[in-house]
Amino acid sequence: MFTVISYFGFLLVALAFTLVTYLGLRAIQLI
Amino acid sequence: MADIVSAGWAFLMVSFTFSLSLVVWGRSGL
Repeated sequence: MFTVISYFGFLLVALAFTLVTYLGLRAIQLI
Repeated sequence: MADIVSAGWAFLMVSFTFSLSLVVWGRSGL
């Protein structure tokens, strides 16, 4: 059970970091 | 102690999942 919760928790964190990085790079028009 | 091992397995699974996801995203599809 803890594994499942951790899985989705880590996944959420990874998605958040990716979104911030993506939008940041797009804002400064690097991509 | 068992929780750390579970988190480790979860992290490993996320690594696989996310890696595949980024490839699918980068290639714009399956």
